[in-house]
Amino acid sequence: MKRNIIIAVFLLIRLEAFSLSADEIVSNTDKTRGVSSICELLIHMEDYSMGKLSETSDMKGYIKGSEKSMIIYTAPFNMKNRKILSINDDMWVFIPDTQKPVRVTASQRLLGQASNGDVLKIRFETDYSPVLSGEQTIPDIDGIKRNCYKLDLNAKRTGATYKKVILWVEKETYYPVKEDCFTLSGKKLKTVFYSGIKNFESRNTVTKMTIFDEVVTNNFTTIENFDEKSADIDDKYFNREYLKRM
Amino acid sequence: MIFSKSLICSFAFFSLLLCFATANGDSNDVRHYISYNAEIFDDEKYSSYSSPIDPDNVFGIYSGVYDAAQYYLDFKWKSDPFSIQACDIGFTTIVTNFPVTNYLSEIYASYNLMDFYLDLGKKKVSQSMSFLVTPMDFAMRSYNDVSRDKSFDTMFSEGKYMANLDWYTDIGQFGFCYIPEIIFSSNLTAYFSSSQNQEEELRYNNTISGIDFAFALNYDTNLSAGTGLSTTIGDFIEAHAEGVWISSTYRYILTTNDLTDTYSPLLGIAPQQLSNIFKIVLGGSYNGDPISIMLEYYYNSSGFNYSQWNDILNAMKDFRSAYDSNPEGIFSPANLGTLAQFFGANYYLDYGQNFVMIRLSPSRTIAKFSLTSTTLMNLDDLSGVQIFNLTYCGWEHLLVSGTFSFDFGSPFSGFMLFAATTYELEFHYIL
Repeated sequence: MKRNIIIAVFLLIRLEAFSLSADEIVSNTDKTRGVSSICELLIHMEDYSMGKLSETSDMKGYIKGSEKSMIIYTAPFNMKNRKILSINDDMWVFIPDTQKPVRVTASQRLLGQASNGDVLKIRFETDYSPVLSGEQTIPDIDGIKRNCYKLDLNAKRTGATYKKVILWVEKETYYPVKEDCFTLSGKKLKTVFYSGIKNFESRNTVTKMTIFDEVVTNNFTTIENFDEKSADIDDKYFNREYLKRM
Repeated sequence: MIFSKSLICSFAFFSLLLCFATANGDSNDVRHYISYNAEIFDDEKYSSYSSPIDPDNVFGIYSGVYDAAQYYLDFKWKSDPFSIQACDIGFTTIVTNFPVTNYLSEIYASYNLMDFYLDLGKKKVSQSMSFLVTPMDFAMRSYNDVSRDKSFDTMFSEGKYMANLDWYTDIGQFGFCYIPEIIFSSNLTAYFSSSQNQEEELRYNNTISGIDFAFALNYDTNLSAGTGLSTTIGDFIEAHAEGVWISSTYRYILTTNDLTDTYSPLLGIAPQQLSNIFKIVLGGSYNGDPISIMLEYYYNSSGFNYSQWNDILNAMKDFRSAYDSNPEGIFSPANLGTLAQFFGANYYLDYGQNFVMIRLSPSRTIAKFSLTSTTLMNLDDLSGVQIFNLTYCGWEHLLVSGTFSFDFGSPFSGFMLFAATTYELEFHYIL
């Protein structure tokens, strides 16, 4: 009996150590996405259908902390000045012809395979509880083998884009390499590859996501960030009623 | 003549503003476009150019071809704490001989001090969370031309001259606007605005525990109050609700003399008392892949009943016959319906109407092709209108849109905007 208790306590301590370690890994990974906690950037999206470029879109992005972000479309021409705002679990779209912001969800499709949440919610730490499930060597988008931590992420908030995620993070750099996204029932929705390490303000950040349709592998969408820079962004930018004044 | 003067005035004014903006401010987020729209009606029916489901509609009778060329000039200049915003819209026709219009949709200056924003000028303010109809947009209500009696949405949305104060706080956004009474002569209306009643409006918006909350209180000749809620449910569903109460008021109606006298059938203008009005909108959308489905139910306590509707339609037919037999009379096909509206106005609007809208559209926000289906239906007899729209925006700056619509069931549908089989082609050149 005493022996069993000692083993149980030992296992609990081990589990706790694993959990902390997973949190640290995810926290370090988040730091490789975005030049600082308050920054602005340019976003370019491309959608490929059957391997051919079909649609593109450009946006300005604003990020403040882990829970506030906003994008303003600059292209295509018919989407110009449309805005999407994300605060905590809430998300709204503002269309210039209308006067009021409208509720949307993070899962709603934006362009091709990309959802609103793929663009606006870039911090894993805020939305998911991570568990380190092991280590694995996997190929990245270019086929180069990477030694990775494998993490199981479960959504801890209603506003998370996906209910379950398996995330591979490169051990040496903490760069995210690959992500499999699932529904609550376990159905696989997408596979995301991360790439495009660029240096902004003396800091290396991951700037490109390639999102694959799980069924047809030559249907994919890319999201690439440019000109990331730290900025002093006023809180009013993240007020849904202020969107029409911007 | 008035049109050409106002057009020249408008172009000159906006050219100056645009030059100023280019030199001094950020004008990247404004839009300008010109568009051309051609519609073919395959038979002669009664169409409305006002809100599709408003019983106070102004009717027109169209047949054959209708076309409209439109320009839309948007201007914004910002240099904190000041900003100026304006929008000018103009219409003319190329094929058909239709009245031409030009107006300033908005023109106002803003001043920002801490969390306060003061707007002075002609401006739109909106508080509704609904899609099909927006009953809580009290300050956006337009007036009937004859009497400044309140109507509802107009086809060409226009702001009102006002002083508006918005205050952004940690416990929500408060808004207050004062709209003075202004009576423009018909000449000035072409340059500046429609006449407007005095109004005061208080607004409040907040998000609490994931639910957007909106409230509005408006007073002009009577009191109106409304509240709305909106939230998301799960990963794919948005839901909203809106309720409005408008206190007992009156409206002006035309009284009739001898209907067979096509030159002077009208006796005068008289007030008519209305009961309290209730309006409810319940709606939601499911954003699946590849299709989004939006459903909205609308209840309006102040509508016509079936026999009243038929009486109005018959009156319109009688007027049409009178016009055909005496085309030199004062009636034209376009204003026969307007006249018939006033017969409808003689009815006491106390019949509850129930409408539903089902809209299917692509769930992806950005797509070159988008096909949209909208069904508007009166639940009293399941009559309504079906609209299909196909839009292509694959060419730089050019958006092409085709619409096919037809009605089904009885004329009681109330959705008179498209109450004819219509083929429409629209070109937008967006700068």
